[in-house]
Amino acid sequence: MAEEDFSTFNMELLALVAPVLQKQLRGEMLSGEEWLLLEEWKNRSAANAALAERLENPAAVQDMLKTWHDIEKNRELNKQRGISKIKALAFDTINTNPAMRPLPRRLLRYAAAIIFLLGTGAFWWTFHKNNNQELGGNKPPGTAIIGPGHNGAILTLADGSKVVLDSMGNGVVATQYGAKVSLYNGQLAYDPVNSSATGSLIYNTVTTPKGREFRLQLPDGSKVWLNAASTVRYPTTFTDKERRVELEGEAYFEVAKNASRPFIVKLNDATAVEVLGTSFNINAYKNETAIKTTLLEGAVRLQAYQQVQTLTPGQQASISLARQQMKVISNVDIDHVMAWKNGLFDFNDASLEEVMRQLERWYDIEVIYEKGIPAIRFGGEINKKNSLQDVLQILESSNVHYRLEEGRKLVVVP
Amino acid sequence: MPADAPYQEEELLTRIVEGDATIYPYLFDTYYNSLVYFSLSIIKDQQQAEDIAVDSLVKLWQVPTRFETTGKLRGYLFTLARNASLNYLKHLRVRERSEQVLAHPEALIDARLEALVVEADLLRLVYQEIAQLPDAYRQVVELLYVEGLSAAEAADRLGISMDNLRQRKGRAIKELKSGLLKKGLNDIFFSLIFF
Repeated sequence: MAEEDFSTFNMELLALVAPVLQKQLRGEMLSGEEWLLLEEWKNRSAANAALAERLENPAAVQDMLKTWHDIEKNRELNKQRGISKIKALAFDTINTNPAMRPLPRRLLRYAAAIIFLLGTGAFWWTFHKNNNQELGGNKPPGTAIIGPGHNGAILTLADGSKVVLDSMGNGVVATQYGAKVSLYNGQLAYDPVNSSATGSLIYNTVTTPKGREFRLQLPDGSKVWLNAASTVRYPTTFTDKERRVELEGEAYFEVAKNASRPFIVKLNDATAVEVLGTSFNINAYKNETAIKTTLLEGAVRLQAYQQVQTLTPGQQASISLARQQMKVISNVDIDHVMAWKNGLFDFNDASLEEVMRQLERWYDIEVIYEKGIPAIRFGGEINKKNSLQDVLQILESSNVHYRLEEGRKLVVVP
Repeated sequence: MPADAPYQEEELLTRIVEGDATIYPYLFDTYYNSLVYFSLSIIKDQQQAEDIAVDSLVKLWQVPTRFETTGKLRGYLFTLARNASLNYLKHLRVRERSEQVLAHPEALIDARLEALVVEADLLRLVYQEIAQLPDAYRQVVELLYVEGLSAAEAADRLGISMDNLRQRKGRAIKELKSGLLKKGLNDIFFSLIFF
């Protein structure tokens, strides 16, 4: 056997790193020395830097812990195997070559495995059962996993040119008549320009396709969270008198306070929301039956079909397009309304159609009802980070039957 | 070395060179998980990685060796696991399973292996944080977060109501110190579907 190289790892140095990383995970203050140690360690190799980065991602850490947990599960079993090996060595001091005794080792392993299985028979059985269920589900072979949506949008500039905001790194993406448009950590922002526009306004548009959501900051500092399949249109510089934007789809606004320049969201020719420094959510998808404006903070005034209505926090105005009328509901479930922004589907009291419309937007799929729309109502929340298949598996327990077809088609069957 | 080590460094190293089997449980508990984790990351085969970890530890009794420090002992064990893992890869040509490793055999990645040693160390500490929770909360964290069961499955396994589970989850989050664990646990939502 070749001589082992024992100097591969400098353990004395490496052993210092993990406790400092843990301290950092716990949010404790690092001493200057500890901070330096971490920086040096990170700069030592790309692998170290990559590890430091992964530690900021809860999902990655969860995977790592799962691996560790699986190792821990077999620990006792392997501890016994090791003891037996060492005992065997003591009885046979002449033959120290482990390759000479493969048989006892295998036997021991099987024996241990059988004991292990007896002890956990029930668990094994249920595990097995679930597995079969999964395999026997109605997923046709070959349908690829459809992952969740993520950050991204298309910016349309005044001259009609388009910038994809998916793939670009941080930095300035465009200059619009003096206003710098930059992307930072997936968020679009306009450099505050002091002079307000006097002549004709220059408009930009941000559109999220299905399967994308996006966050941007308007020229006045107001923030907009755009849900999937939505569009917001706004001038690169607001006028002195008012701040006017247009919305299609769903967005949550946190409007910068400025009493002298009202903020107005135009939803369609007959509907506008006037705002005075506040946060609110508007759901104005064309394929939903009503436009819903929900106020979280401040005050808004709605104008729709010659009606005017003022909302107080916790109220929701629902504008029915078919009936051309507006209705106000008090004590709305804010968590339910804001679920999309908080990474959730909230299916409480939702119809199958409503659920499917949300899935269509987030997973960029097309839903087809083979024989009418089953009358199912749902409850509960689902994490939007799940793959489509995971979500469908959950819905299956509420008697939703379906099959996935090529071209991102979800066929709902009775 | 954990602070609560039952052996003084010198005593431990002396017993190793003497081939004393009574220190085996301690050595195993201290190094086994890290060695498996380390090997598993290279070869992507848990059963094989377990064999490699056990064999690396048993080697201490096959070839009694004098180490100057426990750091050197640890380096020796990880080096054994590293060499055995790389040999296994070469031997079985599990190329597609470990392209990254085989793509650059020279630089081999000792840098990557070094990062893995730190990763394993850290996981031991983070896992300890979970293990030290009171049982009722620890189980909730293990089932929901580490094993990734659904809330319904976890409640069923523990024989408690969903409300009870929700409460325990909330308390577990309060007890945990690492922001990342808190967040990871907090991001698990209850999917209660009815009609």
